[in-house]
Amino acid sequence: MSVTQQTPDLSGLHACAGKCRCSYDYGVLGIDSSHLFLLARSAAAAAADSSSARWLLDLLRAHACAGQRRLVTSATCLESECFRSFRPVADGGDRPSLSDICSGIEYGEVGSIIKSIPDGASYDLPLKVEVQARVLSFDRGERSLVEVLRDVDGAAIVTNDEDAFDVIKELVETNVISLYPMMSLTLMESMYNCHALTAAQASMVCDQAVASIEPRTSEAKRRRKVRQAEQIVQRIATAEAVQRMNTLIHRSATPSAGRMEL
Amino acid sequence: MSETAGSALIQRMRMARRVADVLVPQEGNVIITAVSTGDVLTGQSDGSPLEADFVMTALDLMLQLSLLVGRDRDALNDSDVLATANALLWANPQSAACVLIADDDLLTSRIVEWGDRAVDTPHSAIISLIPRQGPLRDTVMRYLSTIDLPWPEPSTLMTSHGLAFDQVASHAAISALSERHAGRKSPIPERAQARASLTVADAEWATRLALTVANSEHVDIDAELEAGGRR
Repeated sequence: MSVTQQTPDLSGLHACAGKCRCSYDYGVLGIDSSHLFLLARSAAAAAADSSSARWLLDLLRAHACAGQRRLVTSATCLESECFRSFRPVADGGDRPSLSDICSGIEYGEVGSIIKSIPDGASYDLPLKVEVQARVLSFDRGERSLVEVLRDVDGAAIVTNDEDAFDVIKELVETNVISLYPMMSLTLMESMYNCHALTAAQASMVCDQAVASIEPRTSEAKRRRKVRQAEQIVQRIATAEAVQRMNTLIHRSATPSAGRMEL
Repeated sequence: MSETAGSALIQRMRMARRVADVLVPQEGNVIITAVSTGDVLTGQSDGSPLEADFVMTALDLMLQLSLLVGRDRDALNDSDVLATANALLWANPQSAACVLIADDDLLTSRIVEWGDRAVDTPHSAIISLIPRQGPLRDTVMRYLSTIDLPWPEPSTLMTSHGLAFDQVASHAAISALSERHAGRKSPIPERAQARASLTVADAEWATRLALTVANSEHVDIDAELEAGGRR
């Protein structure tokens, strides 16, 4: 998969199309740490160190769908997982924080766009969920986010973790919760279609979703992610080509351009 | 949340799950696939005509399955819904029928074939005795069975009829021999001589040929005639 590196054109962003297909009337979008890390890696890959933080904040603001939805996350996701300096990492691992990836980004900047909701220490939701004969772990971060959004009327949740997505989908289908799950790349494509993201931004996120697949990830999961990213990049490229062609045709056909050039 | 696109999506997810649970496992050559390659079924855009959520194929028969999310079985006979089902078939001319699925406990479904309207008798054009409306799995499987018949392994004449075929064949051959002997007073000398030459060995030969055919084995009749000098 190749992604054209372009200077991001931020004009006209954050304005969803009239019939928005990226928010689906959901007034609240829950963002988990895997999605935040994906956006941060995309910002870091797209921009120089000094401007990567701005890139990330622009990407995050675009998620608000022209102010139609509130962005929220759980304290566990944002403080413990994304900014590990706020709380020690429970397992003592050496996970990076958003500040490591996007140099200069601060908790307060992210917190000004995404509301962090405190979550309790214990959750009602199961630690393991059986999905089509597979027993999947419901990780603490996603579990805390689902828990804080559980009573919110009309909320969607976005994650870049296939297992988390499958677990949440299973819980929705079995009437345990009523949150609408979305995979990160699906949301990126919807936001591109709504003009909330540029082609370069959406493609960059797709590229990073593939580039940052953990080496230990199963082959099936890797294929699923790569296939989805490739399909989205292809659709975006096609849409861009059609748009350019229409623009050219329009320019050629306008009276001011003189006679139509073939 | 009131009835919004968002809540409809969750309803659709749950209904799609129930439909999949009812239709899987599939039988025989039946394959069911989701139309959307997305993470979840999002259904049609606002204001667009009916779209298929699943496609079911059995050999070369294709059915378009549409979920009527949040609608009860009355919608199955709604003239507007049937008109959009027809439009769906026009858009997918390779499909034999559209299956409309109501959002009730039984997932009551209706098979809609080309040109079906609300006033139609709810029976299939393929075989009129097949009901076109009822619980999902039952209705779909009965409809498919008219096309994708579960043919049993073909049996031989001997096993299928339970006859003592060898005795019957032998008796028939001897009877035929007797008839030939009785008719040997032919005005044509060669024919009379030929008939007179028929023996029990010829009756046994005829019996063996009949049994070979009854056992579904190939008989090269020309070779048989040449070998016995009977041509």
